[in-house]
Order: sequence, then C-alpha cells, then structure tokens
Amino acid sequence: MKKSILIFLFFCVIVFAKAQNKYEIAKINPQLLVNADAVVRLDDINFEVKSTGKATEKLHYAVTILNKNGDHFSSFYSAYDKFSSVVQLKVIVYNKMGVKIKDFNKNDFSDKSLISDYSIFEENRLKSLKIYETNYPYTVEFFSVVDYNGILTYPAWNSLGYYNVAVENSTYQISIPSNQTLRYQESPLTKVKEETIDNRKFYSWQAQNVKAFKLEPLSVGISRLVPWAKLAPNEFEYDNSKGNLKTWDLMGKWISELNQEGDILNPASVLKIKNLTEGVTSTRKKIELLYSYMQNNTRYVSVQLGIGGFKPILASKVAEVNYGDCKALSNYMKALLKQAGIHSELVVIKNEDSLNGSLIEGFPSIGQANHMILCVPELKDTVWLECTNQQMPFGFIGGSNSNRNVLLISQNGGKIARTPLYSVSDNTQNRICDVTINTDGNAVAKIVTDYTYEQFENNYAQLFKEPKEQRDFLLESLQIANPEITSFTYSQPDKAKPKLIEEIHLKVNNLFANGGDKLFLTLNMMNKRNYVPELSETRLTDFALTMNYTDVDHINYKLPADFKVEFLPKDMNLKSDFGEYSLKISLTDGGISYIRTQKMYRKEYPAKRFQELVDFYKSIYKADKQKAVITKI
Amino acid sequence: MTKNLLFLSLLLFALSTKAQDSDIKKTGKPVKFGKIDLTEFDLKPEGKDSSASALILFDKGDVRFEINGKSGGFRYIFVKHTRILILKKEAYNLANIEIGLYKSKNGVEELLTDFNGSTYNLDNTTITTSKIGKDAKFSEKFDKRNTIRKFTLPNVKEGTIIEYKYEIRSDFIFSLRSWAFQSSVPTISSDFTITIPEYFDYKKYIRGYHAITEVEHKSVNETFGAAVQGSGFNAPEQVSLTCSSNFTHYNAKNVPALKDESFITTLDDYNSKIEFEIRSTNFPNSGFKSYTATWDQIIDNLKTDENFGGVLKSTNYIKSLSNDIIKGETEPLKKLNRLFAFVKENVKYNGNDNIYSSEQSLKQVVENKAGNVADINLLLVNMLSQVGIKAFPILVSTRSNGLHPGYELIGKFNYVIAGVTIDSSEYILDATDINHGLNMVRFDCLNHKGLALDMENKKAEWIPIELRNPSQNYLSYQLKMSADNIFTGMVYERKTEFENLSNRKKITEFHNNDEFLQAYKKDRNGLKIENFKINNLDSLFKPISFEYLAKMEDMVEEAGNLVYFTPLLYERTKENPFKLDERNFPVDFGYAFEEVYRITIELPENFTLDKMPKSELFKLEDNSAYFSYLAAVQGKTLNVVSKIHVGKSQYDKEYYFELKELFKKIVSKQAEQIVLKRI
Repeated sequence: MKKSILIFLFFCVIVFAKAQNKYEIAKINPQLLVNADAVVRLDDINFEVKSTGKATEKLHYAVTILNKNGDHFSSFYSAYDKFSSVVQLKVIVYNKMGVKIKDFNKNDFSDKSLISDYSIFEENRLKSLKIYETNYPYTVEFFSVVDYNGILTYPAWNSLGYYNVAVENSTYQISIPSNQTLRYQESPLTKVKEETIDNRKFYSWQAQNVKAFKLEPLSVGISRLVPWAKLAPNEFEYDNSKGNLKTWDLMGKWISELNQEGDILNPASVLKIKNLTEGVTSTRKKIELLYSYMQNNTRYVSVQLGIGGFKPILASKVAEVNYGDCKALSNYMKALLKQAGIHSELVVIKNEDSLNGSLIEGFPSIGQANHMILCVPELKDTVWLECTNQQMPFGFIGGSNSNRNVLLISQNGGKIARTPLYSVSDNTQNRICDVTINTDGNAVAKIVTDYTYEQFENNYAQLFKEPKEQRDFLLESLQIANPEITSFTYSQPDKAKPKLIEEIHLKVNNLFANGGDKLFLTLNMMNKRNYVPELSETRLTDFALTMNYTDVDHINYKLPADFKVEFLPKDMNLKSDFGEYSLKISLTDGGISYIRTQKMYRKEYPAKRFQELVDFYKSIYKADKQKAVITKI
Repeated sequence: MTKNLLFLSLLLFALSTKAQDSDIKKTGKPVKFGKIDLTEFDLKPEGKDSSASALILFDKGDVRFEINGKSGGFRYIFVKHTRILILKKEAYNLANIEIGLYKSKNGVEELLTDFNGSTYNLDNTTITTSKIGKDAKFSEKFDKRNTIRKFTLPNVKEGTIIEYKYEIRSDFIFSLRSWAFQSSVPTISSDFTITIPEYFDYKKYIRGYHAITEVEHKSVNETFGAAVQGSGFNAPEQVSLTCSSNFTHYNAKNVPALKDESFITTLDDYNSKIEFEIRSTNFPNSGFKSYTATWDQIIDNLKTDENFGGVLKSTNYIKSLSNDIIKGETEPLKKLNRLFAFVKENVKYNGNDNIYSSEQSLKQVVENKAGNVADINLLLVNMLSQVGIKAFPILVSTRSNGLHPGYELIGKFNYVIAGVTIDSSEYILDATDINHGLNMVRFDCLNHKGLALDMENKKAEWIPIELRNPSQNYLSYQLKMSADNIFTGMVYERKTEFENLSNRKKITEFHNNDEFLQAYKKDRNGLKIENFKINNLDSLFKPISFEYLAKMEDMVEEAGNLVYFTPLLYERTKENPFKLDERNFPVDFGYAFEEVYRITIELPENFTLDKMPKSELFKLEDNSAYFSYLAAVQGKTLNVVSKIHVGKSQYDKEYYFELKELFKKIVSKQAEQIVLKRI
C-alpha cells in the first residue's frame, strides 16, 4: 500500500512537471535572447465578431522576463468604457523552471479612470496589475476576455510591437458572420489564411521566432521588418449609429450625417457675423476676420463621451459657452463661414510629428486619425485652418499637420486630399549678428533672428511668455558661455503670418579662449552642431529627417585696431542628399565676416545610408568648432 | 427637553447673524458672489508681475467645524471663494477647476457640498454673466478612494473675470486642508479664516517668503447641533453643544507670483502657506487626549499603530528568517550586510513613499516581494533587531515633499530609512534600491535632516542626513599625442558617494556594457574605446571606476604651423549653471561635490610648446568652494590638474553671485587652449 502511494506520487510529479513546464526558460531558442529583455512566448488574439455591433476578444499571452529592464512587460492592462466590459482577467506567474508560483484574478486588478492629458473628461477606464518578481528569469501568463457592445474598429495584429523583446509565437484570428465583410492590409512578410466554417469566415495570421530589435537613432520604426496586419470592418454599429467603412467616401458620409444640422447658429451669433463682415468684399479677408474672431473668443476644452468622440458638439452650443475640442471648434468655424456664405469642409487628420501621418488611401478605417481641422477648398488657394490653437497665424497649420493625406468631409461624402508641404525655403532661421569686441576680449553683440513657418512654430511660444521666462529661456538656450542680456524683444510683425523676430542685445564676457598671447575665436557663436549620431555596423531600420529647413547665420565681428587676424578657417561647400552646408569666411574692414548656411531635407532614407549621414554631420561638427587665431600687435 | 432645544436653535440663529456681521468687519469689505464692480476689470498686476497672464483679485478660505450627523463626530467645512481676472490666453486653464476628494475604507470621507461658478465679461459698461451649466460639471472616479470633481467655466476670453466658490465637508480632522497664499499668478489679497472649537488644539505651520499677517485673533461662542443617526431602528438623537472657539484671520496682500528656480528642494517650500495638524483634544465627556504634542506622544502613537509599531514587533517568522540569513556569521557588520542585501534583492520598491507600512505583517511584505518605502525599511529595521543589531527608524521629509519645520509635526514626514549603531559607528540604510550601499540614500532623501526614533525610550532626535564626504568625480588621462594630432592612452575614472550611485544606476539601466558605452561616447565625439573595464560594480561599498584604452581624433585644430586644443579634452564645464540675474531662494545642491581632472600628455617630437594656460586659484570668500587650475610642462610632458570643490550641500541665497562668478571663471579657464608649434 505504502509503495503504491509512493509510485503514484512520483507519477504525479512527472505529469505535473510535464504539463507545467511549457514555459521553462531552457526551451527558448538562444537566438531570441539576443538584445532581448523579455521573450514573448505566446501572443494569441482571438476576436469573434458576433454581429455588426457585438464582439468578444480573447487574449492569451505569456512573456518571460529575462532581467530588470524587462519588468515593464509584466504589467497588464485592460481598458474598457461604456461600450465594452472586461469579463475575465487572469494572471499566472511561473519561475524559471516553468513551475507556477502565484496567480491573480480580476479582483486583484486596480481600477482607475483613463483620461488623456489634453482632456477634461472621458469615459475610459483601465484595469491594471503590476507583477513584482525578484528572481529572474520568470514568466507571466495573462488571459483576458472583453465583450464589445459597439464596434468601430477591429484590433490590429503586430507580431512585434516593441524594442528589446523577441517573440516565439504570435497568432491572430478573427471571425465574422458570413453575411458581414471585412478588409485587411498585411505586411509583405506574412500571408493570411482564410476559411469558412459553419456560416462564419475565419482569417488568421501567424509569426514565429521574431528576433528583438534595438532602438536606433532617427529610426522610422520596425514595421517594415516584422509581420503585421491591419483590419477594419465594413458594416459597423456603435452607440446606436450604423455605418459602412468600405470607402473613405462612405466614412465621410457617416461623419457628415452624425453632424447634420450641427452648424446652425443662434440669432445673436448670426447678427455678430453680419456686423463683422459687413462691407468686406474679399472672401479671403472675410475668412481671416472670422478666424481671428473664433481664436479670440474660444478656448480648447476636450470632453469625449460616446459617439461624441466623433460627433462635434453643436455650433450653437459652442457659441454659448465659447469652448470646445478640435471637432467642436472646427465645426463652429465652419458654421461661422457658412453664415458668411463661405463653404468649408471638416478635415479628419492624423496630427503627428513624423513623415507617416497620412491616412492610408487604399485602406479606410477609423482610428487612423486623431484630430480635426478645417479646409476652405473653393478659393484659388485652398485655405487650411487649425481651429484648436488660439494663437496660430491665419492659414498656417504647423509641421505636425503638413504634407499628409487627410479626409475632407462634405455632405456628399468623404474625399482624400493632401495638406501643404512647408519647404526648405519656407522654414527658415535667418540670423544677423553684429559683434563688437573690445581689447579686453569682452564683446557687445546685437543678434537679430527671423524665424518663419515651422521654425516660427518651434519658437513662437516665446511671444506669450512673461519677460522673466523669456529671459530665462534665452539664457538657457543661447549657446554662449557667459552671456549678460542687456535687452531683448520678440515680435510678430503680422499676426496673420508665421514670422517671428527675435532681437537680443547682449554682453559676452571672454568671447575668446586664451592660449597665452594668442586669442582663439570660435566663429560659429551660437548655432553649433554638438552631436553626431553613433554609427552602428548593424543598422537595421530606415531613418528619416523630419523637417525641411534653412539656417543662415551671418556674423560680423569687429575687432579693436591693435588686433591682427593671424589665421582664418577656409571656406567650405558640402552637398549631400541630406542637405547642404557652406561657410564663407573673410576679412573685412576692421574685422571678420562669417556666413554659415545649412539646409536640411525632410525625407526618409534606407538604413544602409546611415553612414553617409554620420559623415555629413561629422563634417559639420568639425567645421562648426573652427576658430580664428588672433594676436595683439 | 423641547424647550431646551428651542432655546438652542434660537441661540444658533442669533449666532449665525452675528457671525455674518463680523465677517464684514474682518475682511474690510463684504464680498458677495456675483457682485462685480466695474473697476475690477481695470485692475492690473504691478512691478515684476506686470505682464502676468492673470491676476487673482481675491482668494478667501474659511474653515469651521460642525457635527457630522452620520458619525456623531466633528468634521470641518472648508470654503474657498476666489475671483480671478484673466489677462492672457495662457491663463485659460485657471477656468478649468479640479477638486480632489478622498474617501477611506471605513466611510470616513470628504464631500463636495456646494460649487458655484460664473464668468463675467464687460461690454462697454454692461457686465454679461455666464453661469456654469450642468453639462460642464464632471466627476471622475479616479480609483476606489479618490474622486476628482471637475468644472469648466464658460465664455472665458482675455479680460474675463472668473469667480467660483465651493464647500468641502471633511471628516479628516487630524490635519486640515492647507491654505496657500501664493500662486503661479499674482494675488491682490488672500485671506484665510479659521474657527476652532475649544475641544481641539491644533499646531500651525506657517512658511514661505512672502509675509502673512495675523489680522485678528479672538474668542467666540459657538453652538453645534445635529441629529445624529441612531443605530438600527433607533430614532436620530438630537445633539447640541455650546463652547467657546478660537477665531483667527490671516491675510497676505500683493503677493507676487511664485516662479521656479534650479537647485531647490521643491517650489512648494517657498510658497507662503499655512498648515494645521492636531496636537490634542479635550472633550467634556472623554477628557484630555494628546496626539502629537510631544515627540514622546508621537512615538507612543506610532508604537501602537499597527502599520508602524505593529510591524516592528518581533515575530517568529521574521526571527527565523533573519537568523537563517545570517547563519554562520558572527561579525555585526557582516550580518548587517547580509540582511541589507536580502531586503534589497527580495523586496522591490513600488515607488510609494509613506512612513506607514501598507501591510500589517512583514511576512506579507516578504511574500508580496514588493512594497512601499516603510514596508521595506521597517522590515530591515526589524530583521536587524532580531539578530542583535541596534537598529531604529529615521523619519524623513523628502526634497519633493519639502522641508520639515523641525517641531512636532508628524504629517510632514513621508519617508523612513533605517539607522544602525554598531559599536560607536552610525550608519544610515535605505533598502529601496539595489544600488544603495551603506550611508547611501536616494537624492530625494538628501533633505539635510531626519528624525531618529528610539521606540523603546520614546525619544526622538534630529540627525543630519548628508553624504559623509563630498561626492567625487575623479578622472585621469595618460595620453600620448602623435604627429598627426591623435591622442592615445589610458583613461581612468573613479566615482564616490552620489556620483558612485548615479553611475551604478545608469549602468544597470542599460542592457549591456555596449549600450552604456554608446551613451558614454554620445557626448564625446570622435572617441574610440578599447578594453573597457568597469571595476567594483559588484562591491557596492567601493567606488566604481572605469578604465579604458582611448583613441581621440578631431580634438586638435590647426592654423598654419600652430596646433591647439583644450587640455581638458572632453571634460570641461561648458556652461555656467547659474545664468539668471537674480536669486530668490537658497542654492540647494543636496550634497557637497568635487571634480578632479588630471591630464598628462606626452607631446610629439616635432612640436614645441608655444603657449599654455596660467595656473590659477579662485575661491569663495569663506573658502567653502574653490576652483584650482595647475598647468606645467616638463620636457615633452604636459601636466594639467583642474579641481572644482563645492564643500557645502546648500548655500544661502546671498552666496548666489559668488557662486555664479566662480562658475564663470571655471567656464572660461577650462576653455583655455594649449598652443603648440610644428617645427
């Protein structure tokens, strides 16, 4: 009897070990450990669409945390709102042998509100749980079930979404009733598997052994190097509204219908607009007047509730309280223009500082955009209006809205259009410095800088700061060692033009670096390149320069009569696909003239050209350090 | 009984009208919600704040007590009434009001019982009033305990006056809501009135750089009445109390905007503010009870608190765990190191600062493998005590939590570390970071002092929390310069104290040495590194050091037959950390520090030295900080030693200009060039 128990126990142990040690660390392919802080053992998404408005999402995920830097992969989140509910949550922690050491369920998750930084109020909430484990490696397994009652989008599949993590196995399956249709776009590195079983259509993707990537400077990301798929419903239902997303045109119609009659104003506002535009004949002038009226009378307040995430609050309501989010303010502006007899269209746009802000022309779906602006299309020159910013010059929409495909919404439907590109000659920083040096090496300088377009955008916040803050900013940002600011001004000569003028008068103590009786003057006083990106021999991701610009620094140094210029660096002229750089340095009557020009192009480049960019920057870095040698007679 | 009640309520009525009367007298001018004077639109900020984005016309706070009918206990009513003139768009966010409310698990809570908000716009001589609408009020349930009520006022433009008034009823009478007289925009007048029944004795803590005046202090009579809910089916019981109360009125006028500066603890330390914490209560039926009047009592309270004294008690579990860990070890310091290592390696800091443990048993903490600072360091104190080492908790208010005023104020502490005495040596320990060695705490803890608690003898003593020695960054270059201007040779760096800790942290944040090296090279253009070695990474009690074979290109410039470079190569201080023209607050570095660079360069044969920097010494008048620079040449070997020494962790603001001047010298001296001539 005793013996048989023992055998039985022994048998149990074996079975137990076999069943449980699927997450044993030793089973990981060593290649997946390279550059990895964690290895996703299993990432299984199952999305079951039950009808146009109902679905269930089941996640099964397991990750092995290899070291401390991988700890952030052991935090688990499940977001929900009025239209979704978290049905099940479960977390199990295993040690490196793959033996279970603890588990957690839904009640162990904390429940918090989830509101974007820019918003006053949203209905989103987040359940989260952070696992603390001190013995590495360890594995955490996560299960969740979420029910959706309202659908706008289908989850996307990303076999690998982060740096420094590898993936053993990633699968994605979506199924829909056969009377519904969906669209997908997949990366060239994968192929869908489709099948129909019992009146349901199944689509699935799979990836195995995806190696970890490191973050590389100026990278455009890893999406070109790993398998993924984007999905979108055609027929959908959300917050009692039905629609079809098959084309951008149809999506435009849906948004336009949500917004029907939303641009009607109350009599008081009508009268106001009439008074404002009375006697003005030029359409452009009218738009400008109304835009400025909108900017001066409203403020940005974001509240997102249900379908309100897509449907702007009524223009008449904005007129009453004078605030709203990007949709409300754009729609309000549209209403003002309509009252003045000017047709405009709402613009659905992705506001992002990157080259990839375009809506995908061949793949309509909700969720690609995050912002709304306004477009007045019927003029000779289309006017684009950023209505969410109360200080933006008329017609200027900024770098994060520029040069991308957007969706114009009209009563007839949606239409893809492109926002303007700000060119190398638009985005300028033109600087003229007069520097008078006296015999003790101290200098008085007058620095006048014009910033236009995107360079205006990078600096115009200065206009609205208090003098102390403006001064503090200047002291911190001037690349000059010991400056004493005597006076300064910021001005924007024309409120409707993106041009900022900064004028600074300052004293500089010890502009020279001494070397015995020789004086060394670094000619580039305040626009030096200090950083050259590190070159990696195994660069994998493509890179991008994200702004077109031109910087011109013209410095006139005036030297005391008893100073003699002993040496001047040579002129330079560098041209590359990334940009241009030139130096013109010459002796003038009583001093030195230094002209530095740098142009850079907004463009993407393949990974293998990174070496060239490093070389280009290195040449600039060296050139910017150059000094004139001066002696006292 | 009925008669009595009537009499009481009559008295209450009489009292309340009287209170209103005196309200008017106290603040000079009665302020009624919604009554705006046309002249208020013309007010302008003055002086340094003349271009402020908004002006607070008045800000009034009031605290009084009442009986909570639900609990039968006292609670307080906090009323805030404020009116702000909006001058620029930058101040629009002042029209979005957020009020945080807390609720504890046993039904003790804060309630927002009233909110009223309006905006006023002037059109010639007519004032248009817009009231806040229902759809502009939101309630965010942040989590189980915290709710944030939000209010968005309508029609805000440049020139608008906004006004709001709200009322919070709070059961948390241990410490009251503080009142700040200063804000990010200037304030014309800020008033705070408080009426405290004689049953309560509160300590007040006033601080800040702008003067607060006590306008009035007097004794008033108050009557409290409430229908207190009975238990079960019992009818509510009518309670009434009459007592004398202390009324005080504080005021600050023309308060400038509060602006941030670098090298400070926290901006809040410089705000003119008043805070209250209970000292004792004395109710007619339950008698005198002291809470935090003396350190003895504070320690007594802590001792009986299950989340402090409770977890410091000896348990079998902790005893056997501790003894297992130190098995075979006899030397106290080695015992300490083992236990210190155990806690650091097995319990992770979850980022929460508190002097109270989040658990009632340390066993739970060990099993959770994570905890707040008290969970971790009280565990350490307890474990050390189990093995016969004298260990005690030290309470700290961190830099971000602000300076502790020094007197008996328990609520101001937010962090606890462990103190240890072995023989006659004292140590401080903080097990919340695996990189912490003995006498090393996180930067946030370097707030200059901590309160060491002797739980047994109920004694408390302020002790300095400072690094024992200046934090040193030592660097030596032993280089040879080639005829084609390339430097090669050995680099050695050694870091002590805080430099030691911060470099260790940096290294552990990177995935491997390669990534650390990449970051290291990032600010050192043209540096090539071979045989990179990190020493003492595993022995926390020694300084960490780096050693490598360096090759540096692009360091040298040529002009004709002249060749020149900065002898400190990559390491010089390029900008003065003190650039601003004035300083309002002390300069608080947190710790004393030192930077020593020794550079030896062997020059190539075909060069002669043309010019080199002069040796010089600059110092503060009281010698507490200095900068020395020595340059010498011997044959073909050039030697430069640059040393910055800042000997105090904090300097009064009067030192600002001297410090600024010192760093100005450092920047220009370290930029000086060595000039060589090619023969």
